[in-house]
Amino acid sequence: MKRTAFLLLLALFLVCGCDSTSRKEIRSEADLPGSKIGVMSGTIYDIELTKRNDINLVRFPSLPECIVALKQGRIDAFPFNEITVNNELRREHGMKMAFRTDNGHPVGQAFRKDDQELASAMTTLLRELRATGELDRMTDKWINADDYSAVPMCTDGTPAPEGKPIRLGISVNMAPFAFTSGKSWRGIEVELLEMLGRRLGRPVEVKYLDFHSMVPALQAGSIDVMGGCIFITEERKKELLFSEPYLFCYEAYFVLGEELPDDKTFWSGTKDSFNNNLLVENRWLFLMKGLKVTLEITIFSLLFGTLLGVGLYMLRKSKRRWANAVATAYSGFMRGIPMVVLLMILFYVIFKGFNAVAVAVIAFSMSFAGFAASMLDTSINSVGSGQMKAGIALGFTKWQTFRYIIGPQALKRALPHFKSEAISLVKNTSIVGYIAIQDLTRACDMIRSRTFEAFFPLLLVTVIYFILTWLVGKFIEWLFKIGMKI
Amino acid sequence: MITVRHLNKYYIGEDGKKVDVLRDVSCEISRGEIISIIGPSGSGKSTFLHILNMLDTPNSGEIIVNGKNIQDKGYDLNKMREKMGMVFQNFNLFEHLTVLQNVTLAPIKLRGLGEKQAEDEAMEMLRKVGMADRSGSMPSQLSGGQKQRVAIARCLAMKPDVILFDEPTSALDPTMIGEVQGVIRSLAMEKMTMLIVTHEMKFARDVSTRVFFMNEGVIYEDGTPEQIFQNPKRAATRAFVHRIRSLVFDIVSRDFDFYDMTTQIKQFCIRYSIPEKMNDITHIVEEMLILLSKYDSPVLIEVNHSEMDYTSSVSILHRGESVSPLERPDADELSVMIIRGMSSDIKTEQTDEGVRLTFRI
Repeated sequence: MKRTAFLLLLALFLVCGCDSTSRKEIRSEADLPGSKIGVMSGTIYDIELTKRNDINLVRFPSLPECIVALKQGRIDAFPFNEITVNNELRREHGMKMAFRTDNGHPVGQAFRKDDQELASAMTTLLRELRATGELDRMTDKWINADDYSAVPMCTDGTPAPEGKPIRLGISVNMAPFAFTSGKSWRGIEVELLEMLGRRLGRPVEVKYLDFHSMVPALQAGSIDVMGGCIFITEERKKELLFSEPYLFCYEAYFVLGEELPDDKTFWSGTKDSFNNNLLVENRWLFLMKGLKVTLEITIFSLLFGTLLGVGLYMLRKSKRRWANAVATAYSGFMRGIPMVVLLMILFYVIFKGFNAVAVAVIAFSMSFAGFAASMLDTSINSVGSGQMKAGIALGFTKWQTFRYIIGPQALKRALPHFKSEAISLVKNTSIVGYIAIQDLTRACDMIRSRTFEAFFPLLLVTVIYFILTWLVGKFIEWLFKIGMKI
Repeated sequence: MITVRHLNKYYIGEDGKKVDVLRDVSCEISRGEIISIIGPSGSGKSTFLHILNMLDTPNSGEIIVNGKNIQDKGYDLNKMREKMGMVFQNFNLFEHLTVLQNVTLAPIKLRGLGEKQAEDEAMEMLRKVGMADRSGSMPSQLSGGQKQRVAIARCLAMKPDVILFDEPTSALDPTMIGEVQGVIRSLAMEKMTMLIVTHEMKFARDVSTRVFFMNEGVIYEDGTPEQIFQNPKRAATRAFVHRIRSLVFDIVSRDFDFYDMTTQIKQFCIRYSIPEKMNDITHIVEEMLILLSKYDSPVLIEVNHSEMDYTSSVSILHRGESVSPLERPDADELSVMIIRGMSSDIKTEQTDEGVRLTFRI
């Protein structure tokens, strides 16, 4: 009782501690020392600000988290390029630019080192557009727009060619570079690539993935272009091949503006969130697609994982030494490797160029097999060798004994473990975003990165996962019931 | 019916040493015989039974059932097992099936009976073991004795030619032993061929037509119950059927731990509930050792107690000597008097090893 009370107090203290920190006003470069600054980890801001030790740096995986943290007062400001944090964003979240720095970066698109052809085709296109002044008009049209979805692309209305797609990888679903509008992708980078695609006879496909898996994905060949406001730096040039820059971006610091008038009631707020996160631009479609992918990975991994587990169990129980050694080595390996790492190794190293969902199914099947084998082992062992002996002594073959006597009992004992592990599997699939799969979690990220809401999309996926795990549990119970009858 | 020739079974222990379980066991079992297999734990009784229906495989030797070697390639072991029932110490009922289903499963699947016929036959078998009214119960609802009776019915439903019982009452409460033994007795009346591994001497004596005494991996003595229980030919058999417990000290030097020995003797007496004999035994041993301390010859002391007829004795072997220490001219008269006073019956024997005195207590 005492301990619970202590933990509750501690939790309360931590929560309040987060909220009650006073905000520091930032107006210029001089205000930065001693302030809390949020950055996206791995970005150029992260690298530069890490060198300074007079700033409290807070790292976030993506821009939406940065904005939410700013709104919640966990950071005082965050630096970003002034174009990405566009008008729409500033308006919606009550942010304003504190000051613009003198630093800036050329923005370009990155290609694989050996993909000279595509990179130079892009450079040629950019030079031509620049020569006619078209490039300036394009950037102007996108940057200064008020409603990004309404900006026309010059490829609108012309049919997309049918050929090998140019796959553009982006990590932020963000106007004006690349963003979703309904079912289609738009934005300045999408427009540039569509123009290039028309020339080369190739359609454009946009893949949404984690910032940190972009470079490996590019090198593994699962995307062809890395976009979404990529700065051209000397360091990156060593690894990647850049087209000519099409834009120059200044860095700026963003802070919270005057308080937004909070005139929303709980219900109207919820209604707005519902609208924004689900209905606008048919965003619920992301969730449906994500749900389908999550289900696919779960069901197939359960199926193949169980089959593989039976095989592994047989190896384990085999009289042959080498078979036991293989089974032991496999279990040891699977126990020692984090799922995310396994997933990335399979996707970026071993099965380069394979369909990502297939790779995810392989990875989760491998992991589930290890569990299934030990579950079989314990549940069969728990029935006891006595009944096996009794069956054999009556004249049953080993298989008949298993079929009529051991199996049904083992199945019954295995059910609760199998069910809970299957439910874990559903939840564990949420890491497939690392290999550019748009599952349910990733779909939620996508919506969040468009709407910059912390609460509603997360609550929504929580509910969906909850229902999903419940259904999977029921499904497994049903399967076992059927199995018991046979 | 069953012929066993030169059966050997061993396993390699953790220290890499070979441990013999069965050593060159041969025997002949005919139809209608009821054979009890008795012997100390670890003598290979259960292993022998398990090897008979190949639940365990021998390292060498032959088993001939109805004229056929069951280890031959192509021999249908499963068909043979259908006709050789087995009842286990721990019953091993199928926990997920009802009593009736436990009995009908094998006849339906293996003998190809229809459900109705199998159930009729099963009920008949259950009636025979007195479990018909519990046919709908699950095994977990039964007592140990009831479980074992169901296990016997399960066996009978296959219409076996022979039934192997592996310590059928060892896992039972004393109160339940009778009901299971009763069922086996009724099978004996019907002249069912049976091999019964058991620790219940009285039961073995009453029910069997033949007894195997197994010791250290061999059939040490094979005979009628009268022979084995009343006139065993060999000493180890006698010691076993009379349930003789012993304690042995081999004294080779004067540095022997005398106090440890008296402690062990006291513990022995307490364990076999003869505390009243504790003083006599320790005194005889002490006085004898004092008497013998003059001579350098080694001494072997054995304390024996029979749980069967409640007699105890101390035997003292004076190695390499031929004259009883009590009769030597230089013996201490007082000690000799005390010793003679404490034992009613002293036997003196000349053996190859030396002179042995046996004191009945």
